[in-house]
Amino acid sequence: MNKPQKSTVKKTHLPCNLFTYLIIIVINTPELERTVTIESLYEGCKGGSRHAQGQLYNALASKLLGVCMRYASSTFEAEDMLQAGFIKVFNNLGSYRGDGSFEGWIRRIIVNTAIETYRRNRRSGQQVEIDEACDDAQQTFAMDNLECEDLLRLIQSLPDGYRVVFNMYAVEGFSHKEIAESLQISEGASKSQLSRARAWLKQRIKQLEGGIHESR
Amino acid sequence: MNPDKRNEFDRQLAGKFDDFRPKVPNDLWDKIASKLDEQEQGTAVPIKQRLRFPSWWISIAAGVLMVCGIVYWYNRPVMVTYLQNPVVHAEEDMPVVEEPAEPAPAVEPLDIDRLKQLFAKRNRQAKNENEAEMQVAEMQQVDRSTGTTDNQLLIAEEAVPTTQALAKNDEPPVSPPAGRPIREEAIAATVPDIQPPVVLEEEEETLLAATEESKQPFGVSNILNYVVGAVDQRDEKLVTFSNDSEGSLKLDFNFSLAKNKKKRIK
Repeated sequence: MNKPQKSTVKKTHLPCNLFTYLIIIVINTPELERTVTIESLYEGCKGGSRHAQGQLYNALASKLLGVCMRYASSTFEAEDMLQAGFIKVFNNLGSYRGDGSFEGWIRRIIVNTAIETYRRNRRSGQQVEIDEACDDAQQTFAMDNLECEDLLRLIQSLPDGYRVVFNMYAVEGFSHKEIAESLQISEGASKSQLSRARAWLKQRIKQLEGGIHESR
Repeated sequence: MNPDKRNEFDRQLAGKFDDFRPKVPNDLWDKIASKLDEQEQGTAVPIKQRLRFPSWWISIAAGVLMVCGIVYWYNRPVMVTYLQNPVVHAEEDMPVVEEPAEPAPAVEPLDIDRLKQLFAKRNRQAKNENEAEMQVAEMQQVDRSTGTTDNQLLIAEEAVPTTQALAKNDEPPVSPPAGRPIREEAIAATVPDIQPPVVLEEEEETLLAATEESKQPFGVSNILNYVVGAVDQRDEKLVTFSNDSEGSLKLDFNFSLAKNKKKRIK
């Protein structure tokens, strides 16, 4: 009489055990990594797939936010620039001809958005000038001890016009002619602003390095 | 730009930011996605459809509507309250029952032949009468000249045939044609009856005046007239009060009495 009772108990517990085994297997399974290139996301983004757009954003948002933070005077302004830039990217995907890299095209749109924001703010805001300072072109600095956040804080503390010219010339590699056309200023003004911005930054970096050495 | 010519400081700085990856806020993608969704919903309607009715057309339509509204507002029906003659107002409001118009009697065209016959008959009758009178007058003249008693009898005897002849002449000398019966009554009916104009408005006015006078209540004017009569003992009073047709108090000054008074004072 006892034997059949035991068998019934085993049968009732069997599905529960299977379910727990399955859960354990799923939890311990390593994630399937799938390498997705930015170029391959282009078609999906162009087709309006929100998933593909999200993937592109996740791949480039952090890097492009760094670009925006160099052009902006604050982190909030940089986030607004990034948002507007990504919306422009998704709305103008049809204009990408495939001449250069897709990432480079996106970066250029983000930079253009930053320049546009500066031009819009320039109409309402006042221009602050930097005093004339001697820029020693051959002077070098050991920036290894400086953190990116420190340098970024220095760049953000530059007046708007100087900051944009310095970023466009020193980091993005624009010529003075291109800077003059895009910012609607003369080439001479671009050169002088770059020289002043450089001298100002060198001076500040020196102070920072001195401070760091003194603290050490 | 040639990278070899690039400033060392710039190159160092750009290299610092190559691997710079700041933390991105979590809600930034949600904002971008919501903006994109809004744009997609907004662009669902094509721009051409939106501009189907241009703004100038709408502004013209609005202007026309405004003008129509202003014209209607200044010409709107205004309710008029009549202080008098409510009965007359009620009669105006009564619906007018249109009576079926009687068909106008057909006017027969004038038959010139028949009229000529009628006038010829009348002329003959008149001629016969004149001839008979003439014969009687001649006989009387003959009697005067000859005698009186016998001639009178002769005249009486001869007068009989004349009357008989007259009687014979009364009969219609010409029988009318069979196809054209004479209808004098119908011809007379075609001529409209000329009736004297009935003046009713004056009677109504007099009647209304009579009713107003009779209905005039005993008011302030009567009291004032009594007071004036107590003060002024003359037949003609200097001031008389009366009520207007609308019920307002009316003052009548008899300035001739005032002048006389002044003269007396002087």
